[in-house]
Amino acid sequence: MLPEPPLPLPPQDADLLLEVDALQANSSPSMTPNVPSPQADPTAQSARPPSKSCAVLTTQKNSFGLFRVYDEESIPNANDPEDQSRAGPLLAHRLNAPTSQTLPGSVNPFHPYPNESSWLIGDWYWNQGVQKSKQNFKQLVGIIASADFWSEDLRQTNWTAIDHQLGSLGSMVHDPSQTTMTAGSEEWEAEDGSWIWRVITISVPFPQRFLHPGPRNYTISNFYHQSLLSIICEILLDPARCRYFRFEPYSLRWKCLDGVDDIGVHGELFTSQAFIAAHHDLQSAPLDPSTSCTLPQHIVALMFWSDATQLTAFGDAKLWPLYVYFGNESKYEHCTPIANLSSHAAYFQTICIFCLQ
Amino acid sequence: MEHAGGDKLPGDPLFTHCHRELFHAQWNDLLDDEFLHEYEHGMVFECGDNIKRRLFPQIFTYSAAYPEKYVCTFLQAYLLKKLWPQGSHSQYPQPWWMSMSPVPHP
Repeated sequence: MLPEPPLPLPPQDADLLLEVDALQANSSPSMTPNVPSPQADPTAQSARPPSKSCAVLTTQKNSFGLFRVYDEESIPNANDPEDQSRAGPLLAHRLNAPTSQTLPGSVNPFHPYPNESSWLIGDWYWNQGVQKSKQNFKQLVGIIASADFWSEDLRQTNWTAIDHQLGSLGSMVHDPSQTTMTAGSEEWEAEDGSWIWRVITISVPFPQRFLHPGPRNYTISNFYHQSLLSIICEILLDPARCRYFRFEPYSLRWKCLDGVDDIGVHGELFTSQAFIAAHHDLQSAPLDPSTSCTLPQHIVALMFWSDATQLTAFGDAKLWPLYVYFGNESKYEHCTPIANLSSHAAYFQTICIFCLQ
Repeated sequence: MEHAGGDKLPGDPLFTHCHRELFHAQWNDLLDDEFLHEYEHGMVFECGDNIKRRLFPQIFTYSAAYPEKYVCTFLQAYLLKKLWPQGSHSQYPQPWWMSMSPVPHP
């Protein structure tokens, strides 16, 4: 159950809904509150002061008293990712993506099955267990006896072709421009495209008490990783992921009653002091002289985690994967397994004690 | 193992050193020159919402379970040195990391 998000941003012409406070530049760096509201709590979340005069926009409080404070220069313009009234959450979007965006003939919600009856039978065959039980039998009878079931619909169904298509859907989701089926081996090559094998060599300083003291090289030949840049590109080129990327940070605040000071709320990375400070620094930085770029500049927040994993109950097979999440996406979306927001970045190798000879 | 002790394994300090060196060497490969260039100057491309942006990858957190923390502890200083060899930089956002959580994300 997700917590209720703050109210979405009002439409841009509804200025009456916003309180706009002009903030003058303050030369005192340590005491300036990040959120310049009249009742700002000086002990609450604070960050470095904006470098220039800047206005803040405050959204209306939701039923829990939560509201967002944006810098006027950092307001999401077209799509507000927090606005769940205009579009469903990321999960729903991703679940719909294969039928509505990447597949030809998107009018059919049961694709690749041609109709609902075929889909019901296919679902029963694939998803209701390998060994058939009495319960499965009852489910099948329930499908066939349903008023929505038409046996005529099954006659033209090409089950082999549908199964082949089902096996190819995964790669098609990754590549929205791809509309034709590829052979199995090509799919895997494409999946594997941005992974790199590397040979890593370190120098081992054997101490004097060894028979052959002195530095010698130790090489591992199977460091397997993805380019971090290719992960970022892949994620942000995906319209479904990009839609829910928060490039503009905001401060989330809570005010229980009128007349009481509001306080900062800690939660997402994109509402954190660190992200806001980084965003401010980037926006206030002078143009890079080597590029003189005037495009909008934004932070892509990488969040790594790794955990060595024992692969078998007996034996010593291990993996030490490195995963990366994006802090621009909500933690509630991160922890939804079916949303697939975690990317594998690398598989670390460790020193083999018996190889060090 | 070929050393003076005959049947003894190398001491812990040597393995600790090698373990750390190998971990750093692998991170060195992850944060290659191409990444460091984009880290400093940003990467430009048209995102999925058809807006062209200059994007600066920043590392905010690194979460690891307890046995890995000692390796990662060295990593923080190592990465800061690699990403910011000339020290504090005011022109671009400072890297802010790392937060170690005892339990990794689900």
